[in-house]
Amino acid sequence: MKWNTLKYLFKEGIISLWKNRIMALASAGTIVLCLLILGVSYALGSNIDTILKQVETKFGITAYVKDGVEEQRILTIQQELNNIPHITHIEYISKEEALKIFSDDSESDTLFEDFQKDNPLPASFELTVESIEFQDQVAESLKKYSELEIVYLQKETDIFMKLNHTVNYVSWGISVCLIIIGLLLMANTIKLTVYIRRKEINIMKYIGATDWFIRLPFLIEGIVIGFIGSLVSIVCIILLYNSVHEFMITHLLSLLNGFHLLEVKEIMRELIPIYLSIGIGIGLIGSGVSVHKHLKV
Amino acid sequence: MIYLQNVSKVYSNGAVGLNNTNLSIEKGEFVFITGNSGSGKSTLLKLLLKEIEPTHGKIIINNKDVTKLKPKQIPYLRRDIGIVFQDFRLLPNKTVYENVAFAMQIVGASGRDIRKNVPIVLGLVGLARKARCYPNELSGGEQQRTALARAIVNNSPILIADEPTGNLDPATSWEIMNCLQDINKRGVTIVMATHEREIVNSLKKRVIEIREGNIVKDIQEGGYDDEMEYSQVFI
Repeated sequence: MKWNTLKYLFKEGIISLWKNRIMALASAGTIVLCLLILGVSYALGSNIDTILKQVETKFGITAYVKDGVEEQRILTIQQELNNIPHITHIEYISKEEALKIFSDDSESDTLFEDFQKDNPLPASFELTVESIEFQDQVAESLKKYSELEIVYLQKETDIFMKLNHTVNYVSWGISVCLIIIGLLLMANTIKLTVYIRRKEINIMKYIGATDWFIRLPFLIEGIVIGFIGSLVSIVCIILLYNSVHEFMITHLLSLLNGFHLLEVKEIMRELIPIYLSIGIGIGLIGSGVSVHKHLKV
Repeated sequence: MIYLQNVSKVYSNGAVGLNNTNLSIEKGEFVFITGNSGSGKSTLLKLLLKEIEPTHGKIIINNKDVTKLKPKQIPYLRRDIGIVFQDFRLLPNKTVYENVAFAMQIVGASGRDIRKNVPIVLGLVGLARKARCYPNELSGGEQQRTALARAIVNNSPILIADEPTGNLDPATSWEIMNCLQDINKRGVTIVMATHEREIVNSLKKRVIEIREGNIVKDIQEGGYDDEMEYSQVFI
């Protein structure tokens, strides 16, 4: 195809977008609505996810070292712990440190001195596990050491893992459903726009236009509609998310209980590529498929 | 220019569109195709445009075997054939000028050629003053003349007109017929399907009548109601 023709077809796409602006608006509107619903469910899902992750970090394993274990043995154990998979962080707290922490927490000023000679607190390893799913596995491998006493929130871990999985499945399910509904709805709207202009396509075929000559302006229209739809959705989601985020922080701080929500930046970093690809993809595929049906004359 | 050899068209529902037809139309001819609705007239025109495929036989247009063309080549066949319809079929969103220019854009003409040729052709059909109008602002005759301009702007050697005066009053019909005759004088082969007795009778051109898929009459300088049967010509 010649450069001249390409230029003409690009112009045609933009001009006919303007001349069919009501239908174009309808298509863009559907895209915006679907992307907004998708965006809201995405924002909800990822916030629930981060809150769960924050809760998870509070779940750790404490391995108390029984009294009478030699310093040397403790060092070997610490080294061996490094080789156990899925442990992300190991902190050794000696008897003294434990007492110090304990006395710092308590109100009594003399506690540290009182118990320094006869310290009842055990030394311990505070272990952080990569993810809550590995908690049981790690605890199991720690039980090999008779010198250690393992303490962790087993029941809570189970409940939490179930909750985590359920939230994951549900949010995936909702997202997939929404994307499918959105696809159908948008495809339908675009089909309608093309259907209204099927006579035009027909005439072009009769006077000897090649399929690509007819298709290209429609594709350009589709891309522009998708792009505009995505841009509008991005702006809407930013404004909406910001105001909700603001409201949560100022009015519902106690409810959040120290957990932080995702910043709008973090949400948009993932949402913008999703929006652009879905929006433009739908515009492109929608018009391509719909035009194709009318090209067989 | 146009040759049909033993062409038959049987539709999938068993209806016969055209029955073992032989026909040759030479360069520069002006041919009327007459016949009642359902006689096979439309089948013939559709076959020429490769809108449908013949069941049997061979169709040669402008030295090309149309029956062998691949779907991708159909647009190039149609560029050799200008076409005018009863219902004009102009692009509603384009002005008269743009409608005619569109046909040139299709063949990849340069901007300079388009700016040069479109006004000339519009002048030829007497629409120079209406170049900026949209189709819905034109009378039927003007719309049909726009369609004519579009059909000839690429200098196609053949023009097919499917009842071009069907939607027009007699006076306007004659305007269109005069345009068509002018175009014919410039060497364009014209095939025109029509019902209009009066036009056929007074122009004294070649008349081919189709009835139930068969050519029943083919007379040079004929009229609509000539009694001579096709079969008798060859006996």
